[in-house]
Amino acid sequence: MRHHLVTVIRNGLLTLGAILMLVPFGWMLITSLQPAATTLSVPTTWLPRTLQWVNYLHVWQAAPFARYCLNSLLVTAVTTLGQLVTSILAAFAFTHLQFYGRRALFGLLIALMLVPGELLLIPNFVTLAQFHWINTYAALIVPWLASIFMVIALRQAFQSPPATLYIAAHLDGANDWQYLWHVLVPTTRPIITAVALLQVIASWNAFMWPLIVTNSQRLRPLPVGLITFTTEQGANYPLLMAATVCVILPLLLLYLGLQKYLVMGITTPHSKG
Amino acid sequence: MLMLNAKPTVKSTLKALLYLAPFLIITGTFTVWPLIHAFLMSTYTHYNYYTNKVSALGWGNFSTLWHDPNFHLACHNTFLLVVIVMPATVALSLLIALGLNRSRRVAGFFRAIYFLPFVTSTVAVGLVWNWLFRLDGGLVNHFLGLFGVKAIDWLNDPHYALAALMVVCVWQGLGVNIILFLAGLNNINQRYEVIATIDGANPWQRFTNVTWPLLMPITVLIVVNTSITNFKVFDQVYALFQGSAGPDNADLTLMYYLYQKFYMENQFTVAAASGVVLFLVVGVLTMLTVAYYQHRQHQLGGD
Amino acid sequence: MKRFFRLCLSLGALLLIGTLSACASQPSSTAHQRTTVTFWHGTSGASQQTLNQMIKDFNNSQSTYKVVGSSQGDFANVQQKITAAAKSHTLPTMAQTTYTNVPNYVRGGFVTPIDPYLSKQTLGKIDPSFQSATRYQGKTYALPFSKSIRVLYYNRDLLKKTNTKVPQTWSDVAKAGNRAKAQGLTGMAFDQSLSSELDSLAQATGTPLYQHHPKLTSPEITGATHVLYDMLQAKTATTAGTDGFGNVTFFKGKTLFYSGSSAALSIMQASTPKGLHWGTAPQPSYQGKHRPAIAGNDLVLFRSASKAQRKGAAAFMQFLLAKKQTLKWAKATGYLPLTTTALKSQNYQEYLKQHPLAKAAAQSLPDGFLDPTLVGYTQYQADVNQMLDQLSSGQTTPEKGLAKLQQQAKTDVSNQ
Repeated sequence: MRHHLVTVIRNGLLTLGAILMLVPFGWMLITSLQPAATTLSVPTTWLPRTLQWVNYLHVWQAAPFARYCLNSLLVTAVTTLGQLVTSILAAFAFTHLQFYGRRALFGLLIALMLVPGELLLIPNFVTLAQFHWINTYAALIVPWLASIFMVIALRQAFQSPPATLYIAAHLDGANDWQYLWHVLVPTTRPIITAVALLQVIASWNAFMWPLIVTNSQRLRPLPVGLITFTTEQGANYPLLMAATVCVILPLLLLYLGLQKYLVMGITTPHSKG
Repeated sequence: MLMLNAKPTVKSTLKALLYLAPFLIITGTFTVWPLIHAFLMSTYTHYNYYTNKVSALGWGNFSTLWHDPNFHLACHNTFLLVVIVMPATVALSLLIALGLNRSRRVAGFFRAIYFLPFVTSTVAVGLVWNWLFRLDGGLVNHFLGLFGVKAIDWLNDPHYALAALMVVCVWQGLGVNIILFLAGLNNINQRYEVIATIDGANPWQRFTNVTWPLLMPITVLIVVNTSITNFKVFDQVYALFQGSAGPDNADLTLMYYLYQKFYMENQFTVAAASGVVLFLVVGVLTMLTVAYYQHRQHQLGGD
Repeated sequence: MKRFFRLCLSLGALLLIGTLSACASQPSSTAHQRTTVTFWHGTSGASQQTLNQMIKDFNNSQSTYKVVGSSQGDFANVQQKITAAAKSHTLPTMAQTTYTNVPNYVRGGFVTPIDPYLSKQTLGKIDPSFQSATRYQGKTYALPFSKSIRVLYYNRDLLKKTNTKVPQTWSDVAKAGNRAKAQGLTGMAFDQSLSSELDSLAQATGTPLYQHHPKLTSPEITGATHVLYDMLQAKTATTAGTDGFGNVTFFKGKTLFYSGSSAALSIMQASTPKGLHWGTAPQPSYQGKHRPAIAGNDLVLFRSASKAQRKGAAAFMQFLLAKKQTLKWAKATGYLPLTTTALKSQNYQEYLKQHPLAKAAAQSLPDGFLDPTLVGYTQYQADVNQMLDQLSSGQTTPEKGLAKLQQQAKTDVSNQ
């Protein structure tokens, strides 16, 4: 009985919180369906009389969004996969291999996480220019192939499986490389999926960097397309919001698709090795 | 404990370096090198940024910062932001994650909703909140009005503008931390809890004695990451206040200061110096936090 | 898990192949020996479409040069890109920027004067109102491009209701504001920043806000600042704050006037609420003088461009100054025509007759002025903005604020 009451209260609070989270999105959707004429000011109507679905068509026609989409997909996929590989390898070294200066290097990494991105923008631009990479996919991808956050997150995750697992794998004749990819990675899947997802989002929403390192529409990703709808003297809010909805929709779908990987508890890890 | 606690040798170091190489090469080129560059630049007092000609060196940029009331204001605002937003975000997301972890049936749906804010680009977030905080017709004032609170011009009153920014930062930060906490909770082997239940522990004891200590590694990560995120708040300010630092600079953060100096006023060396200061201050604070948690972790018998 | 990874990998590989082949099939842009002129700009929406059309027309009008224009985001983004590209020697041939940046660029050694490539006759076509801003250290560096001027927008319905005439002077505005306040209305809506208004008022007193030897504590500037400050204190005027532009407040229909840029005209026309009628007039005068501030962007030529590219850019600039083109640009975007011939042409006068809202800007132009090309201008401007921000939030008074600003401004302009 008491248990039941607790559940009701808990779900009630969670619902309230969820509503608070949802309000801004409701507004976004509604705004994206309003006619432009009413909205030089940020619109405040909750119930528009007519729904302008045509806004979404206008968005699609206003800029080469198909191209933007392709670029976003490519850059996000390659960046995330690359980052996973470099981070998994590095995190394994930090947790399972002994080397001189391990602690010091790790401390340095945490410190490097603090470097403000705005400070890196132009020096990195200059570096890329020296590589003759400006206005190429390489400029969009290579600088982001290492994520300190991901290494730190995976290091924490790799520490959690009991040491007996490592010993058992070795006794079964697996070397470090096999242990890493066949035991450790599957065991820590929820965390790996979570950090990969965060990286996908960061990469998908990146705006400043792609804008700075590319000069032509051909290479630009979706968020850069959003600026099509702002002008010197204000924005076209309905179109801007419609475009924003289009940009976040794929991320939501991806999230829903990945959810079962995030949610499932640890099933029995590979016992075959 | 096979390799885990062995002493490092040249051979094991070489092997580790092979594993680390891809990561280190990228980080070295795109993070360490620019940082060294910024350190050097902060000591140039007479410098042509474009031609790269250095005519004088010194600590002039740091003394400029020392005497600049705007820099003091930026430090003050940033400090407040971290001190208030970080604990609030971490505590709230832990609570929500624990709640979601319990109620399995509806959890999937809720998770998606709580994750929404993080998915959205900051530009859109800025616009949405700009509307929510409006003096006339804004939902926040409407809601407070129900409790008899007089309407507040959140974004244009210097007394409230920082509070408004804090709300946005907490709101946007929840999603990531909930996901991370949930992933951490998933990683805790359910069996631990089962054993604890059999031992007759109540939920609170189970939390303090089992869940919390095991959650420690991910908590350290979340605390450090949230602090750093809030030390570096910039996008939210830019989007919320239409490219200004709020009324009377009420939301001037260190990152905004850096941006202003670099891109708007072209004071490249002063901007570099402020970046260095930010880096050092945050560095020391983070180290202290990590050290403290590692100390606690040892006490609690973690790794 | 493995399957998931494999899926991701194959998806990634597929995309990579797809995109690379898409790249390979891009038509190579080396059309027979044409010199490519790259042009970065910060336009969007209607102005971008018009500009693209003009670029296309130029490319079709001759076969020596090919202008490739690309939008680089908003004006702030273009600035950042120029800074980054200048540092790494990857600048385009030409770009859209403000002439006030020219001293910085000259110091950085990456802009080049336009005079060697454009005839005196062509440069002479530019309307005198824009001339002062084209030159720095005796050379022409900046060609006016997207130019606007401060005008007064007024709410016809409210003026009728409160029995108010369109104000000629700032004291008319203040008086109308007081009357409006009695009826629960507001007199004036300003933009987020008051700097253009203060600039105009100061210019009218004969003591410019921006000059090499700032006289910010002079009675003239103090008086000019009080005009704005007193209205804000009396609550007969508001600033836009986070709305950015005062037209948001203006369109709520409770404000008599909006002091804004003529460039806002087209977006305002597109988003006027039903039942609201408004008009435009020249900015009010102060101490008997009408000196509205001209703002907007210009075109500059970079030193890294080859001789042929520079010539191509000049040819394109000349094309933009042609009567037909500058009129097309002005009509489509709401910016001002750039040459005297175009401004005085029958064609444009006809257009103004049909579009009376655009008249105020064109009428104001002869009285308009531009800030001097000053070293340290960007910082100076930032300091002015900060002072005005403090004024409008009531954190300082004109006297105190200007005294502090005087000190800052002196350092700003003396900073080599």
